[in-house]
Amino acid sequence: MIRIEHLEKVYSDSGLRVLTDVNAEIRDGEVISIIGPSGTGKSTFLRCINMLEQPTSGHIWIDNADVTDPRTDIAHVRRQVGMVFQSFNLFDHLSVIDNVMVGPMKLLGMSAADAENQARDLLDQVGLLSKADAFPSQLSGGQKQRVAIARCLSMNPKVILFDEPTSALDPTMVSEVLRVIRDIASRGITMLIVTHEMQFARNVSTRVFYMDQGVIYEDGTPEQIFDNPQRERTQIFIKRVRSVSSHFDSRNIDLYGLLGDIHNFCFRYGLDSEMAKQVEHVVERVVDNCLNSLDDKRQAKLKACGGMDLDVAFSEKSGHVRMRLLAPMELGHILDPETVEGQARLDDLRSVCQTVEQGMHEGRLQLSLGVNC
Amino acid sequence: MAAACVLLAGCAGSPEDNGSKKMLDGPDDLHGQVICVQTGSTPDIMCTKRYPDSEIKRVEQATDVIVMVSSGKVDAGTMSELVWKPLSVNYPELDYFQVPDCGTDIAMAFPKGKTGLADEFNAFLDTFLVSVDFREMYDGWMSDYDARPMPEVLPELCDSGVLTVAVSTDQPPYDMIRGDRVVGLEPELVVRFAMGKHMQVEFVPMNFQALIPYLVSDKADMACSVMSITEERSRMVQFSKPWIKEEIAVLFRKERMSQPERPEIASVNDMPGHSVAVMTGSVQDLYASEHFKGSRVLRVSSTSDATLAVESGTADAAMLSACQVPFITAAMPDLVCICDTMEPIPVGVAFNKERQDLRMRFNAFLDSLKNCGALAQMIDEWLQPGTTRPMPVYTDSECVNGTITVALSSMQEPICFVRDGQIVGIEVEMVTEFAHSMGMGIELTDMNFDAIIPYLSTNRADMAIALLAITEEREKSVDFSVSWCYERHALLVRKAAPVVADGGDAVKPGLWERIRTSFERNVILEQRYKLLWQGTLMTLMISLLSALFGTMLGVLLCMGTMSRRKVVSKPCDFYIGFMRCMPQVVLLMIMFYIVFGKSHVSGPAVAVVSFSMCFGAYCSVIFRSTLESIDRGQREAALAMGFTPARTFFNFILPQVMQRALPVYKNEFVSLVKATSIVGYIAVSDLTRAGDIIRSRTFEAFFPLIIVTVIYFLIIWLLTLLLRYAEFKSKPVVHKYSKKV
Repeated sequence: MIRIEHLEKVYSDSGLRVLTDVNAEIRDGEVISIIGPSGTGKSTFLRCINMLEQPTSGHIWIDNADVTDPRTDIAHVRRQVGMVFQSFNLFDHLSVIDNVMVGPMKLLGMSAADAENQARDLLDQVGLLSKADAFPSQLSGGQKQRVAIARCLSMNPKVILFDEPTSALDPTMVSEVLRVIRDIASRGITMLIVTHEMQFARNVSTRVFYMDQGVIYEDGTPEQIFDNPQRERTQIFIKRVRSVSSHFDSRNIDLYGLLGDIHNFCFRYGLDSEMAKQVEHVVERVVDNCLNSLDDKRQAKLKACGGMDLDVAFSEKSGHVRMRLLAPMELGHILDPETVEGQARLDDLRSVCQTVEQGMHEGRLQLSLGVNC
Repeated sequence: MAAACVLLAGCAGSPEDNGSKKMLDGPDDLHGQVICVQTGSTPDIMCTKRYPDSEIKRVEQATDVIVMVSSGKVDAGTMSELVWKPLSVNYPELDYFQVPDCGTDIAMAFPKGKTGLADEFNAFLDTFLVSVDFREMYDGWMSDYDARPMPEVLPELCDSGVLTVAVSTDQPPYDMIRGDRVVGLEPELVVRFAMGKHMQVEFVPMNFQALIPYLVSDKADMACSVMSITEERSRMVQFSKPWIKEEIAVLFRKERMSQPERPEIASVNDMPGHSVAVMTGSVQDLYASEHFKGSRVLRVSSTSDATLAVESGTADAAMLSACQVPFITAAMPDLVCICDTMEPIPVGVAFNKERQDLRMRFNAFLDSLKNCGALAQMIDEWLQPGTTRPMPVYTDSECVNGTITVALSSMQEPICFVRDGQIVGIEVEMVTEFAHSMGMGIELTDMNFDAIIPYLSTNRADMAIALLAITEEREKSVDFSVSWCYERHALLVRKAAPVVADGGDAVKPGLWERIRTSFERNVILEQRYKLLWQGTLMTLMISLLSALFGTMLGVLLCMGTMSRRKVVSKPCDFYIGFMRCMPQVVLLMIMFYIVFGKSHVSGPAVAVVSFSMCFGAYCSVIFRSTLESIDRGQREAALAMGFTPARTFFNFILPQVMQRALPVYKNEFVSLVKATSIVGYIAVSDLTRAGDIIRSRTFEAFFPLIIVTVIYFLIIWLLTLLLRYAEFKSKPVVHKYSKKV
């Protein structure tokens, strides 16, 4: 149904070659998750399919129409290819129901009554019939995205392109949107989903594209990609520990911002709330013991030598959370076990972690802490 | 530091800088002030008694009082007028007034025991005070006391002993020290008295306060020190008869006095220093600037504005052409013409330098008009206030040889003015007849007076009339015909006293009656509402067309600035920045006189072009900022659904732009309508100018201006109502496509 040959995309202003040579064939009814590290052109690939981005070279056929051919009526092709955006992109000046009606009425020539019946039906399906008369500005992020999906369905498309549909959402709203997408997937509409939700990708898709280095690096069933990846970079990506890191120059850090990041991180990788709470608690203790205890002299030295980095990493395979605090050598030590105070602080950290070790890593001082699930 | 010192000194030394200080116009104003007096003097006693609420500062010497006042350390000083008067020439910054009812008699003091001496002195006074010698002595000391010699006393003639006289020597010219001698009016008086008794005089200088105790202890025979007779002193000493009466003077700095009433202007010679209103660019403007040194010259745009300035008191006088005076004084009874004696100036009709042929013919025509007496008759009749002399009417069929374009300013009765909606007047009739004599028609263009010469010199008209005085300056840009009359300058001022109508207050009309009369005069009479109506239409037309074209230009500019190609976007940015910095009136003039200077594009068209240019620049900024406030995502969403770029814009982007831009656009539009009031500068008769023309006939400021204000208000109110409807329509609605259930 969709055939892509030698797709290349170079951004003219930055000269960045995002897609080098993408080839794929997608059959009717397939649900394809596109995963991969950031910046490997997953979104660009999706946006090339409906020509929101102009490919530099290569061809894309949708139902035998070459959309890269300037003679093709792209607007007509786009009616069959719906798209759901990361940032929802609802029409702000139209109410929810009108957002869902405008396409069929203006493009498919549907009567107002029919369009309205269909719109109410679709809103019912995404659970938002009660919000029909609201304006987009009155909705939450998850609700907006569900309306956007309904609007997309109103055109009765053969293909739907999902461009990171949950990335802009609060963690609490991700599941309502994923559930709606899962429903649609079960109806046999062809779908391409760019996502970071690994669990979701694994459950919903019939095929997974792992994109890296501007190409579809590995292509296979979810079981193959997630459990038994064949190629090296795929293996690294799948097994890679997920991490969040932050950098401090001084004692005065945005602790609440940091804890928020840690919370989102835990939520994203499915850590249970008990575990998340413990991780947050450990981060708080690390900051308290290792940063807040700096005197002015050490603080100045820290600033001059490039500051500290805190990495929080989660390994899906082992279920470990590992924290690593890196500091410049000039500091001498992070916590000095020779002094009474340093010893006390280390003991304090040991009381909340399974492992606490001080050492060296790539020319920097390292304090690593481990928390088990 | 030094600067701070100067500053402090300046503050301390000149409290008179404080503008809020009370004026000192009379004795009653002294209450609550700081007053300086000489300790123990008569003014001291007087002030302490009369002004208990004032702060009295006592100094030792009379001259110190003056210094205190002069330096501003005190509000006022009181001292003997006798002492002050001869000193006053040295202190031009000070002024004084007399305190009434506290004059005291000045006499010589004698110890109580010396009754005989006192009696002899009284006898001497009786004869001496009425003699010519006293007068001569008094005048001598008062005029130049430093030069007045004391009488020479020969010691051999003064063998009858020595007269010891106590004196306080700080009161020139009465008592003072010159060199090492005590001299003065009183010492001379004493010396003359002593000479009669063949006695020598020994003066003992001392402080004023020491005099009485000195006398009481019999150390001196008498005392002289401009001493006034008081009860208290009389108990201690005895006084001679008074030889002079002393009044108390209150000194103060001149700025503490209210400005005296404006003196009447009785002739041109009184003008310097008074403000005068003239018409910009007129010969009177030139004359006033040159001759009235120190006068504030108020330049206004029409004769009526000049006269209104005088009537309202904004200017002291208005200077204008004498021939207009009867028309003005008829309408404004409070004004009076005080002189028209200045040298006459020839008046002619101005011609475009390229129309020499026309000028020659006009001169010939004028000669014939003069010779047959028609000109004199024409002038006579037009000069009658309220004249109904008809204008010649010629049909188009008689104008076979084309049209002469004439620039004029229709605010000068009787030369060229608007009567019954038609421009008439001496010069208008003259040029009409002239054109007819050549089988041509005329086309009159009305404009502000100061615009006439530039208009003519940029070749927009063939000739110009408006009582144009022939001056060297003007002859550089235009040519003049021979003069058809001489104009004199006249000065109009307010009458000294308000005119009291016969029968007093009873005939003063009520407010409603006055409004009715004004309405009749300014709107109904001579169908002046037609002027207002035409003006309103012109304002509406210019505003709406400028808004229309400006909006279109704004859209183009907006697209231009958002273009990715720099060759397009940079010039657009520059244009917008340039227009923003350009005052609209300057742009209008540049467009009219320079850009369209040689091409004959009409005034209203130039106005529409220039206002569109400005409005377009402003609009483009509004459009651009609103466009950018709508996020790109909605465009992408619509495109992805299958809308074409054009349909995307009209269905989704434009409605939101409208909704956000309209409130700002509405404001900009209102500004545009108001800004069109400057088109009078380029000879377009809009609403504002219609009001000006009416004022030039009725010489009333209030009513025409109020009417113009009301009409502007209505226009803008109606137009914004329309825009508000559009704004209402562009508001997002819940059920744009769906039905309400």
